[in-house]
Amino acid sequence: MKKITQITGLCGLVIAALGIFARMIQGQGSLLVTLHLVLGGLLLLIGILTNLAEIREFLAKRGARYGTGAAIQMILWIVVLGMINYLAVTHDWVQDLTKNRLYTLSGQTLQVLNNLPGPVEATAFFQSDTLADVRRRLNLYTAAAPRFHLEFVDPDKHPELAEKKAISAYGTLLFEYGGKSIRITQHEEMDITNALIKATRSEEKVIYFLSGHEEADPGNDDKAGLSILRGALANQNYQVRGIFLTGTAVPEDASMVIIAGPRIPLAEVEIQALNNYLDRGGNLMVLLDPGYATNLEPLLAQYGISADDDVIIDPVHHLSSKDPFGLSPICSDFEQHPVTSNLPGKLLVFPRSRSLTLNKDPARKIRPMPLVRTSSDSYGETNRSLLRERGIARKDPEDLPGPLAVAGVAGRKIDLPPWEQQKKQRSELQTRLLVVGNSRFLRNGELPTYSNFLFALNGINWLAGEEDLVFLPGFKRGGNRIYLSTPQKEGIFYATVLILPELLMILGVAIWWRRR
Amino acid sequence: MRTVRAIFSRELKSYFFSPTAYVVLTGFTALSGWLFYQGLERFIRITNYTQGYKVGDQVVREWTLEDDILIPLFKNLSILLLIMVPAITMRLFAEEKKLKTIELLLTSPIRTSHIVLGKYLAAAFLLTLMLLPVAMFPTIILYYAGSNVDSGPLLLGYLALFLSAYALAAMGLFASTLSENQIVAFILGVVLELIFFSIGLAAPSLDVVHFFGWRVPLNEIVRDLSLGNHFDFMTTGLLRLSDLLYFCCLIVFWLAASNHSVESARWG
Repeated sequence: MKKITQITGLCGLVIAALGIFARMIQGQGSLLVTLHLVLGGLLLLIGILTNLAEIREFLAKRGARYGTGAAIQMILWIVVLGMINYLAVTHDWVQDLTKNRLYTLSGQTLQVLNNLPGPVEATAFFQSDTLADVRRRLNLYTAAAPRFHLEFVDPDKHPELAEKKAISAYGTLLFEYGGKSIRITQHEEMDITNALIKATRSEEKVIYFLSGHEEADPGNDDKAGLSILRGALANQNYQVRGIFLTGTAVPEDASMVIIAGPRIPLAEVEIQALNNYLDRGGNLMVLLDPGYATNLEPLLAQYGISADDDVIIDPVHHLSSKDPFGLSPICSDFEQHPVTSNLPGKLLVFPRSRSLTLNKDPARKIRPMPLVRTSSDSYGETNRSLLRERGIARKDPEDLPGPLAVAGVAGRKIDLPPWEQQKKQRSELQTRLLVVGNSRFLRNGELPTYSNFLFALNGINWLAGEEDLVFLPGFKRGGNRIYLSTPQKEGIFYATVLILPELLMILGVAIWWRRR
Repeated sequence: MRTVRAIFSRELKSYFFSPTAYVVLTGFTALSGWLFYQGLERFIRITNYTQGYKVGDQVVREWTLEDDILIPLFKNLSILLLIMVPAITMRLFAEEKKLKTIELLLTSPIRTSHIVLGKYLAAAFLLTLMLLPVAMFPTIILYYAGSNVDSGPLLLGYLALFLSAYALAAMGLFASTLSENQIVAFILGVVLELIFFSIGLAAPSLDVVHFFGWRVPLNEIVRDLSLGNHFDFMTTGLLRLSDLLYFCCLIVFWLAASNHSVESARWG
């Protein structure tokens, strides 16, 4: 009978332990689990009560006393070490030892995180134990900003949450702020940071591309088109639209108008529409290719910018594989400005460009500023017909000497009348103008070359007043190679697989032999 | 400390005067050399005709010497340690029990903790010797590939290999205190180490559970308990205090457990 009650107690212990385990795995109570807990507890109680004398006798033994003490000590060890580890995980000290600081957030990202206007809720719909790198990256954001709240949700385990938030792809990151939500499936630092910026900004920006003068087309995906730029702008949450300005004004919602290399002169009515737009505090990007009259000259002159009638040749710094004359000048001379802030040390290429002349007019408070200059070896070839017809390029006295401005910015402050001030909640407007003596750098054929992409996005973000949108390099480690000759490979094989193990074996045999 | 040193040198002598150390050292060095050469040869072969890992036509990750030779090598060696370490530690207490010399040790005026520490340090010393030649592999890569190599993850990967070996040795030592049969101690050691190494694999099937009102993130707990996860994290090139503390705590815990296990023989 005693034996049966002892077995009953043990069974109760096992059933109760399994009940606790099942309760933890299941996460919620069920009838069967509760039954396990109640039955287990009951059997254990019966076992203890019917064997009290034996238990007391066992506990009185020295071994049992030591065992109990040891068990308590081990539990204490677990608690103490567990607490140390918990504190270490929650207040971790991390040092990035990778060469290119692959796991350190950039200064731009930290600035964005520090300036978050309020708590941003981020939800990562990742399957369990996938995308470890991205999890690591997101945890850096959490550690850097208390206002960035992150939760990982496995859509397989919580399909109801995925459905509620309209998530249709694994790996989706959802950012929510003030009723606005942004979803991304790209996970580089640039993507995450820009998604945060977009989620927390109040308005959606619209970019209009002027049409009707054979400009570069955002919908065109061949070399002369702008489809790559259009895709990048869409990723940055800009709306891209085309516009004809014949008989219509620039819409009120325009963040900027881009005139991308017109081949046909603009009509008077269009120039007037652009002037009116700029007077309203509008922003304009003008890309002018050499050899084309555009009728934009008077408008640009108001801002102290004129496009020279030349084509830039740099016989030293150019893409030699693509042009023998030096018609694709490579530029690395940048003026300090938000558009060029992350460009020092990088290169830009402007194939078939014209130079710009920038004239300051202190009386009208207009101070145009060159952004990018060609090298001092370059010059502006004014005899374009000689180059075009006879293929001769030489530096003549009438040519413009380098360095030459190939891109420039200008701006104007416009004081608002009192009734407009109240409406717009500001006292003045800022007109911004970015002019480049070339449209090719923006087209699909040249946009990915060197840092043209970065320059283009910087320029557009500056015009849109979104200087804080960032363009950052990815977190990937760059590929590398090892080149070995056959004797070198053989040497490595003999040294690592044969010679070293053999030496150890010989040493062992020698010692064994000596001791024998 | 004198007693610890005495136990340490006694154990070391018994390792090096028997074939054990040489068999382990030779076997591990030959295997690691072969794994390294295989990785190197494969890397040279694939980089001859592909730029990187492709999804469709797009290269999503370029081949690198760190990610495609050395870090996988460190991972493979850490798995190899799961077999090699119990082979080194299995005899530490099991042999003493079998030969009944444990009674002499326990009745001597030496403290149990000193016996445990001396034996552990001897095993750790042998493991250090075993892992030192592994430094040759990154050195070869650095010599031929030059400054292109990212040395941070390699250094941390190598450090993780040592820390894992020391933590596994503490577990192996505990397993050795449980039996007088070396084979049983070996198997127990492998099982225990395997559990701690791969417990993180269970994380995907677990979730945050609410236990009587308490929020218990079972998946995170299991992931943080896993030796393999901490090892993987170190090989990324991120030095975390939590990883270093994890390995230290693991060593301290299993040495304490070994101490109690040996003590129980004294009082049992």
